[in-house]
Amino acid sequence: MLKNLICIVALTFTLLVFFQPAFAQIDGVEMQVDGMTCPFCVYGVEKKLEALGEVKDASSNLKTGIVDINLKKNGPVNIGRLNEAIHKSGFTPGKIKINATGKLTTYKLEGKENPALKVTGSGQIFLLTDAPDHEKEEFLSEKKLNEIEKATESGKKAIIITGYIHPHPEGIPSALSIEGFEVR
Amino acid sequence: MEELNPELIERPCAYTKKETAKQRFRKMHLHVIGIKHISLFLMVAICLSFIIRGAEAAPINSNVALPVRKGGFVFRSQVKWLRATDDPTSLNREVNVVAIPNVLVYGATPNLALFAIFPYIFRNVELTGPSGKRIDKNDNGIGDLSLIARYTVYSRDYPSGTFRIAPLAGIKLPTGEDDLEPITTDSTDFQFGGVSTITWDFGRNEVDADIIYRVNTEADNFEKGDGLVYDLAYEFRVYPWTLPEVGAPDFVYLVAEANGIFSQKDNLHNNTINDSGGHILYLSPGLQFATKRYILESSIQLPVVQDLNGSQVKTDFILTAGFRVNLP
Repeated sequence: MLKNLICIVALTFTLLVFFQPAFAQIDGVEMQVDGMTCPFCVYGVEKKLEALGEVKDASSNLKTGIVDINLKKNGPVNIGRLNEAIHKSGFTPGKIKINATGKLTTYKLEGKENPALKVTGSGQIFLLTDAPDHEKEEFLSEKKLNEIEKATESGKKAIIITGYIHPHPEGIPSALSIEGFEVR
Repeated sequence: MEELNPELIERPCAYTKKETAKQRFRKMHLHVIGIKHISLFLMVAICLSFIIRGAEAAPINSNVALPVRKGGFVFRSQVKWLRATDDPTSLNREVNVVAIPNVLVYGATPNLALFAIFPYIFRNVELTGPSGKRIDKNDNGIGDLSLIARYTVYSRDYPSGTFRIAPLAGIKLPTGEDDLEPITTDSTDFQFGGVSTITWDFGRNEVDADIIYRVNTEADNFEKGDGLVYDLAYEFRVYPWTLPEVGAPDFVYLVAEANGIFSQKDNLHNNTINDSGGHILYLSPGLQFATKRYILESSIQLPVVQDLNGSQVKTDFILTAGFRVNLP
């Protein structure tokens, strides 16, 4: 009996240490790229993205014009670098959609604390917003914030947010407009 | 005019060794064959300049305005076989030329693509000499190097397609073998023009159109006539008929092109060569298989208009097979 118990504990310990649930920090990066209309063209796009240090691999979907980008572990999302890679390939970058796992936090901007997401692993910060339109961006509404705070027990639980990211001037974290979220 | 001596054609070494190959060519053809026979070789020059020009292009025989990634290289090679046997004279001339234009393309910037074209050429000419004996002449060697720059001045990309306009300019250098004259020349020539590309319906359709003017200069008392080249190409994707939701599958295109050239008459020693120049228009069906890494392609160019000056030999066809590869 004792022997069996020891085996169970050891096995459980092993599983916990070596087979932790793989919560990817930022995964499912989908980037719209306009102008790609043949497989020969696509090669240049994928090569330019994969030349970035934070990108593990990239694969294009010609029907939708979306490039699926897998980041390396703890790899940050740098909108400027992704856009530049697409420009260098000769095509036009569009919206970028991500799934980001992290915890609710705040970021001080112009004296005001704004709701933000701190990504697990990389520590990258995204300012949370409701607005899908970057030109009319406003930060997260009270209603949405309350909804998220309640779901994450005021930030105690990790959250996976799916949404589009928008660049900000240098020094200010990018915005993440929430399309949906899930609590872990 | 002396009668044609087939031995002199087959063994040009009979001339003084001090003479250069170029001098032997001029002497042989001016004083032995006469200007009329020069047209045999000059006719080939119209078609060959056509063949070698098309090599930097895509679809198959026309130019395209699609980008090459910055710092990237594309290599292209084709085998083009031109056969011309429709001889209006009693010489029963038959011309076979196989040109292998190799093209290296470099993306200097996303908008600026640079092309270097270095062809290899095989030429076979047969004709009936004055004695009734068939004369057969073979030459082969490196053709003239061409360098071209293409810059995209306007582009508009959509999720389902793109529209681009790109002017281009180029120079042909006299680096080829003298034995291939007048396919090769000692002159430095120039070309300038533009190309436009539009694609739509997620790559199912593509239309490319270009127009290029060639300014040929004089060297060694010979000047090839200037030329105006025009092309219109349509590509239609037949496979896959419907794109899958994910991925970038291999494509099969049916290609239809119209390739034409207006060429002015040539000049030799300030004499206009009447058996030169004219207008040729080809219709060119073809097939392309495109993957991310490479493209395989083939086409046949069939002349539908051959309005050639004088008694030039008319082209039967130009058959092309080739490939392109994205270099890593």
